[in-house]
Amino acid sequence: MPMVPPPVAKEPEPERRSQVQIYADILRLLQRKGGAAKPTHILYGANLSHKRLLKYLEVLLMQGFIEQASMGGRMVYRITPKGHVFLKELKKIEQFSEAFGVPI
Amino acid sequence: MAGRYHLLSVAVVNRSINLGEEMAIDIIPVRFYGFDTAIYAFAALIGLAIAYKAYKLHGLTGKKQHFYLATAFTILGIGLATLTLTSGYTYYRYFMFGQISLFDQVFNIDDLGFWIYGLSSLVAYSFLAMSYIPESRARFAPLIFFTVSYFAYLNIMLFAIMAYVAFNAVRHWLDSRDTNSGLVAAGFLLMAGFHAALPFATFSKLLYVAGHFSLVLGFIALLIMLIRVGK
Repeated sequence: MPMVPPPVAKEPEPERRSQVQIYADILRLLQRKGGAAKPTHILYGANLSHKRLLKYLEVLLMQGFIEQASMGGRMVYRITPKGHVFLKELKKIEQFSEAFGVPI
Repeated sequence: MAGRYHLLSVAVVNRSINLGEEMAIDIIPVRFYGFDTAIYAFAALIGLAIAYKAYKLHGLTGKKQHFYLATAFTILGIGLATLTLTSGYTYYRYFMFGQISLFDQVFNIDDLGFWIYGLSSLVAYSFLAMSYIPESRARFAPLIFFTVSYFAYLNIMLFAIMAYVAFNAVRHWLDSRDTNSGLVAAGFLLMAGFHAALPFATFSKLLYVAGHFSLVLGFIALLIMLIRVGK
């Protein structure tokens, strides 16, 4: 009888991030990078495809949470004061949601 | 103030109607007159403040569970505000004119307030319970809660739903060990305690007071959580 390998315990799948979480991840990444980062750094840091990243960046630009700037001749995205305020407010909302055990 | 009885059970409602006001008012200690109104007012304000925050959360995420949370506290806040007005008016009439009846001898405005509060609590707690049910199954929840509540005693049903909500909140707190989650769990447990104590208020006036203290402590826990997350 052929040896059947023991069943491998399935690792729990990571939960899908909500849109708000993705916006927050991008803004927090910019904060961590000192306020500005190149698109490629955001791409890897936020763990998004190029197409999706462009979509999210466009919304953040439209909302005024980030702005485009030039740093050393290269284009970067920079978090705006409005973006900082949004992150601060989001943290409060996240804590509220977490308190009730209802994920954001 | 026969309304207190109305929340206890269907059977007791009938008893209170038969026995009239004198029997009904007997479950509230004289020294506690008016304090319960203040507790309802305080709870209504906290409930509506939580609803406001939850609507902000829903506006950001668009999630159904957040909508349920916001709706639950809005309905609960409105129910408690109604109770504040009717209960306050009843005490006013009692102290000023020595009578509590408005419509007739057995059904007064306080009863109406309690009926509105009872029904709004039932809907609000159902929404709260739904916020703990995964979205895919949530659509069946209202049917279950409302069907059961039609046949069961209202107050026992309110306790059962709140106990389910509190159980989920405690489970979440045990997982996260977060202080805010602990405050929410404590708040829900104490709110369940209010409904657990009320059916036995016929045996001891102290239980009526204890139940209301449980309610106010529950909302204080929720207020502390609100202040902490607002910092």
